[in-house]
Order: sequence, then structure tokens, then C-alpha cells
Amino acid sequence: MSVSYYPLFTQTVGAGGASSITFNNIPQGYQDLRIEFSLRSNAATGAADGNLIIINNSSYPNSIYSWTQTYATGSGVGGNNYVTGSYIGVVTAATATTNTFTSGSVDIPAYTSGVYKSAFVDSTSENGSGSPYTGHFISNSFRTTSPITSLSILCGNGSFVQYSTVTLYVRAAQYQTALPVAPTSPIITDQAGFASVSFTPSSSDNATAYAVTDNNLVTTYGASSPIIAPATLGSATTYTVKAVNALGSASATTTPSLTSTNSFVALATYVISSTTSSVFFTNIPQNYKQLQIRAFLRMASGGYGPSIYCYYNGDNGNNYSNEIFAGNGSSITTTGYANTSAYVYGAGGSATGLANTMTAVIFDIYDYANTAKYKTTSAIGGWDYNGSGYVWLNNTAWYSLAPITNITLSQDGSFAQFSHIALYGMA
Amino acid sequence: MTVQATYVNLGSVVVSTNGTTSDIGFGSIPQTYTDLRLVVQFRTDYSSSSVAALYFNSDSSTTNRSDTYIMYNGSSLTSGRETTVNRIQVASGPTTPYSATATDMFGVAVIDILNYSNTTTNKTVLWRYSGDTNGTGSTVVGVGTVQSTTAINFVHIATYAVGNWVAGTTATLYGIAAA
Repeated sequence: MSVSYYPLFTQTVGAGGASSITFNNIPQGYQDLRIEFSLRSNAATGAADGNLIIINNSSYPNSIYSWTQTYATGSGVGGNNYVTGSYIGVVTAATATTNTFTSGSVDIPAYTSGVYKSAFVDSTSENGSGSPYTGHFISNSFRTTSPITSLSILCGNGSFVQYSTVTLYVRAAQYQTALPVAPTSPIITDQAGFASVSFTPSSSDNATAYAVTDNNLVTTYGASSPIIAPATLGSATTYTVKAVNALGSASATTTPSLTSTNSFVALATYVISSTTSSVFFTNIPQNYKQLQIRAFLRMASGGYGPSIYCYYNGDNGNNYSNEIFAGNGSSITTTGYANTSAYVYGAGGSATGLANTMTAVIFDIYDYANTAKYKTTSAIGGWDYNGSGYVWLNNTAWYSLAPITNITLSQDGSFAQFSHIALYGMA
Repeated sequence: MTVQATYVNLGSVVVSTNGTTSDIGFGSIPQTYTDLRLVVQFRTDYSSSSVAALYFNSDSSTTNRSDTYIMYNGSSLTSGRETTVNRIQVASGPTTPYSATATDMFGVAVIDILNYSNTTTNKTVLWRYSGDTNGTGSTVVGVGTVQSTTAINFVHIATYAVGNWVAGTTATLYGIAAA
């Protein structure tokens, strides 16, 4: 039997619903990707619009995206286009006939190539009632030369309901005619919340990808050695390395067990060498319990009291609220903001303040990868200029169930030279 | 993203004898981390209110430190500051555990010293303190500045002028490395 097309993984929405469905660490050893979806929204309408696809955890909207479509409503046809966005068409929603889901597919050829990517969407939302619903033929452009390593389907209005499913398939460029050959010499290294699993691929192993599966049945794909896989802190974990192709897999010997005890991991750092308006942390690993940002900041221009902004997944809409408790050396203030567009972490140090003196802020972002909770962040920050100063505590909610995959940090004015912002994961 | 070990215990001190230790210091601090975190659990033997003061670089005479804080002592909420002083005052007043407060109660301070090894900016310190003495107590959040571009290689926390740390007082210094 020869196989060149097979499913990598299916995700099915549970009873709580989901605002997005994400595939990370997509293997890079195939030719094309195909997504097949069956989706319905809980929005209080017949058809929920604005559904979209995001690649590589990019911010949104984003100039790398655009789309053009032809659609049919049952009573007419039309077409339109849009820039800075992506689109997979409408999906049935709460007032559509019960149990009807929108079906569709997305084809992404040459997803690992170094040229811009195209994605063709074909979907239908016929609901059996005879009322006009929409079929779509959509051409999406993703103008990035980076390989696609992750995909997210986002609900544009409401959340995807239970039993919504998305399956990610891969296609090989040619039929596989031989099983893969197992790699050898797996070696495991503790990397603080992760395990680095290195191995030696066999010669002519017919592999299109490699995978590491731990004794908890968590599988992480990779194109080469090493593969960085999650580790459960304090728990003995073993890993099995596999060579994979369309016909099957072949496993190396299982590694000795690892009990990881490190729990605080440096993920990324910005050291500001010249004036910078904002910084972005992207592709944030999803296997930690908590994130911490430790920031050492100064404003490049402007006067007293610039605000510091921090928002998630490119969402600068009115989806945040926060409370600030602050003291300036003589008086106390408490301030609350509801339905704010990007939450405000009190005042940062100004450009005209005491020379060489920086604002310090430590943000703790709890349960950031959870898909069933809104996200809560606490922060402590302040600056002192030997006669004036400001210290604050801040709590913020982001009203989204989406896991936090990227973070934008900015302030009024810009970050000055010598500002330093570091992101950590806490396992 | 690079993944590496990050949060490292650089040293711990446990006071084992009463009446002997007024100052706990960590010297020769490696300059290879980004931030320092000092976690202190303390109580003094002084008979009246006491102060926990943070000093840097064996330089207790230089008055280039200042701080701004918020403190709640169980009845009033205030914000205050110190200017042109030689230390950062982490905790103070009658609500800090001392000899007259309930037995075996200790205050806790978590102190972050950001970018301590850089030689181009002043140093900024954030801290939180809580000390409950069963009926009284205080919580403090503060920010302090050391007006010096010299890297910090020595940190010590001391009772201010009077008293000693009692047995059971602990201090642990951590180094936190950025990616």
C-alpha cells in the first residue's frame, strides 16, 4: 500500500466551546497542508462572519494577509476582497437549524517553501431550511517567506460550539514505498520544563518527519535532531523517538527516565539599543503554567507619567479591564478601567526624569495557555527619582479564552536605549 | 526560542544563634545574570520597632539611595518616601516583627534588583513586604533607586542601627538570567 495523504491530528471542541483551534509544531517534511473543518458558532445569529485563519501565531490584523472571494447566497452571487485579513467564510450559528455545521476545507500548497503562501478555501453553510445561506470560494494570500509551523482557526463572532472539529492533513510530494528506518542513540537533556531529545537519523531512513512521544502519550514533531519536548516537573518521564513517513513510523529505543526539577525558563529578551516603539514576543510555548515579564524601562521622549501597555494575541479591542493601586510618596490612588482597549499599567518613568533611572515592572500572567478561562495578570512596578516617585500594583483581566501565543508591550512615547524586557516561562 | 536554565540559587543564610547577627550579606555576586531576587524571612530581637534596610556594594555611607512606598499597617494606608539616604528601607515601624510581638512570627520580603550588573544605568529595586503579628501587621510595596552606574556585586540586609536578627531568620539570593 502506498500512502501520501493522511491526517496528522483532529481537534474536537468540548462542551465549553472554543474561540480558536490551534495546531502548533507542524512537521516540515511534507509538501502540502489541508484542513477540513466542521464548524458552528454560538453567536446569536444565523450565520457568524469574520472567521479566519492565522499562521505562525502572527498578530492580527496584519499586512501579510489578504483575501478575495466569490460567494453564493442561494439568491445571488457576489465577490469582494479585503487586505490585512484572512477569511474562511461564514459558519452557521445559534439561530440556524439545529445541528447544522458549516463544512469546508483549506488547501495550503508548499507550506514549507521560502516563497509567499496561498490558501484556497471551499466552504458551504447550507442549513436545510431553504433559507439562503452562503457558499464560499476564497483565495487567501499569506505574504511571508517563513515556513508555516502553526495554524489557528479563529471564530469571528462568538465561539465554536461543542462537536465542531478541525482536522489537519499532510500530503507528501510522492508516494512512500518503504517504511521509515528508526533513528538511533537517543539522548535526553533536562532543559527546565522541557526535555531536549537528540538522536541520530539512520542513513536513507525514508523519513519525512521525526517525532518524540513521551510516556504520557504527548507527541512533539520535528524536522531534525534535537526535538524539544515538554517535561512534567517532578515526574519521571521517558521519551521515544520515531522516524515518520506516510506509511508509518519506526521507533528508537526509549530513553532513560528524566525527572526535571527546573521550573523557571528564559524564553526571549529584548535589549533596546535604539529608540523602539514596541516589542513583540511571538510563538510563546504553551506548556508552562505561568509567564513572567521582567522589564527595565525608560521613555525616549515626553513628560511625566507615560502609560505602559501590554496586550495579547494582537487584541487591542475593548476586551480588557484593570484596577490600579498606586502611591506617589504622599498620597494613594485607586483607579479602575472597564472595557478598555489595551490595559494600562500605571505610569512609567519619563524621559525628563532623573538621568539614567529606569522604571521596573514585573508582570505575572497566570494560566496563559488555558482555553477555558479568561486571563488574569498581576503586576508590580515603579520608579523613584529621589524626591518624586510612583509605585503601583495592577490587576488585569483579558476577556478571552484563547491561549496567549504572543504579547505586545509598548508605552506612550517609545522605549529608550538600555531598556531591557525579558520573558520567562514558569513550569 | 532558546530554552535554558534560568533561576539559580546563589546562596542561602540561616541565622542559627540569637544575638550575633545584625547583617546578612552576599558578596562576590556573579555578574552573569540579569536580575537578582532576594527573599528574606526575618525577625529582630530589639525591644521596640525595627527596620530592615537593604545596602549595596559595601558602601553604607553613600547617600545616593531613595525609595517610594505604599504601606498599610492594619488601620491606615499611607504612601511615603525616603530621599538621599544610604539604604532602601524594606520594612519599618512597630508592625515589623520584633521581640515584643507574638513569638515565632517572622516578616517576609521579596526584593527584585533589576539589571544589577549593567554599568550604564542606575539600579531600580522593587520589593514587597508582609509581616503579620496577630492583631497588628503591615504590608508594603515599594520601589527604590540606587543612583550609581556601578555594577552591584554585594547585597546585604541589616537591622537598622539597633538589634540583631533572631535565630530562624533566613535570606536566599537568586540569580535570574534572561535569554
